[in-house]
Amino acid sequence: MKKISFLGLLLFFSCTIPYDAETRLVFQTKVVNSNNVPLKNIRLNINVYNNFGYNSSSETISYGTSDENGNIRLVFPSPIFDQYKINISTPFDENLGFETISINNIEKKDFENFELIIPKIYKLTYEEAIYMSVNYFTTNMNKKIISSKIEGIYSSVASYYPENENYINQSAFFIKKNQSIQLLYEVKNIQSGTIESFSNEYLIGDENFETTINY
Amino acid sequence: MMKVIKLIYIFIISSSFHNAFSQEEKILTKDSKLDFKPYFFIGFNAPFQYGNTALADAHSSNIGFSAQLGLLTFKGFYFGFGTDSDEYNVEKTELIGNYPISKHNSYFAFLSYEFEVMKKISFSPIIGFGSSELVIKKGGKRRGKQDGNEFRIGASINYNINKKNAICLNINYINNVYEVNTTESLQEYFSRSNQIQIGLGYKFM
Repeated sequence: MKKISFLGLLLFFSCTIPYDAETRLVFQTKVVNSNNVPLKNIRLNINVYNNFGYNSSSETISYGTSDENGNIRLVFPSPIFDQYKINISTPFDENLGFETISINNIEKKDFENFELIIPKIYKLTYEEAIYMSVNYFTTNMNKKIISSKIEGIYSSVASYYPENENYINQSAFFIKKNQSIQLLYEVKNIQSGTIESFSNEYLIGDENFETTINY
Repeated sequence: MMKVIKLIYIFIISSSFHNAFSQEEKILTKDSKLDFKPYFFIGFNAPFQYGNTALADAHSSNIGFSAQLGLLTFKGFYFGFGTDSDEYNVEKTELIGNYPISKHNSYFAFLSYEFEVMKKISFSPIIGFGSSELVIKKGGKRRGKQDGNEFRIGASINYNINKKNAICLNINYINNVYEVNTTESLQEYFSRSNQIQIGLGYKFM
């Protein structure tokens, strides 16, 4: 019990996230089902986080629900992006029967002119979706995976590229069964600063799918 | 800049209190020489925000706090410094963010003039300029702020209880321009505020 209280105390003190109040960011999207029908009253949270586990901080800086046309627009103060990133997600308790909508690793560069527009976010049922994981392995320690995303029907993107870690770089997606997708990823050469973009096409069936990319 | 202004405030207010209470009885006279005649005003204010701005559209206002220190007088004009502090409740989270309070603080210099209307009633137009800040408050802590500039113009009606004490009813138009970086369509919304402020307070020399 004492340990739990101590942990609670740590989390309490670690949750003072500072904001750049002079920068106001805008996020816009449209929530649809797998048949592109707009969904109303779907709540999305904008969460600010800096880490996982010990000494982590996270909090919800904005939230709102989609209108009759599935549209949602949220305006919020910018976190200090050197220290924090953004995750967009549905609350877990409002997701019964559906895969969680969750897009993490959002950074300042993703907001062009202070605005991030994701044209559609899909809300998929458990029956409609499969789990896809991508493992990235480097053959050159000067190279670093910095982003990966999917063009296709998906509800969730979870990427993990720790700043000082080159061995465990992964992305995980919940995507619709039986579709063709493009996996787009970027690799940065740490020495030269150059960024290379790659694209792989995959034909997705109705089974969970795992792949490895060497770069 | 804001810190320097705050330090000047603390210095002036602390150094003036002694003078304010130790001077001999003062009379409302229009001296033709520059004179040091401090007075202190403290009171409450009710801000009424208007226009298509974040404070007017997405917040509700609360009763705030005002204070002024008059310092120098010359031919009926008074020069001094003032401060306002007002808290606004966030009503539209989707436009502002998930925090409960935006707190507006201002620190301004002012110039006023006092007309005697009746035996115990006087009227004082006032004009002021200074700096302001709009603070994100969450969990009782400051999480960030927008810096800005403030312009005010208004007047007060004073009921002079005696030569050293008065009750004042103020009305001011206050305009703020804040620093902001955002999309073009939201620039005006977050960078401006306009308010009519009504205040009631006590002035003593």
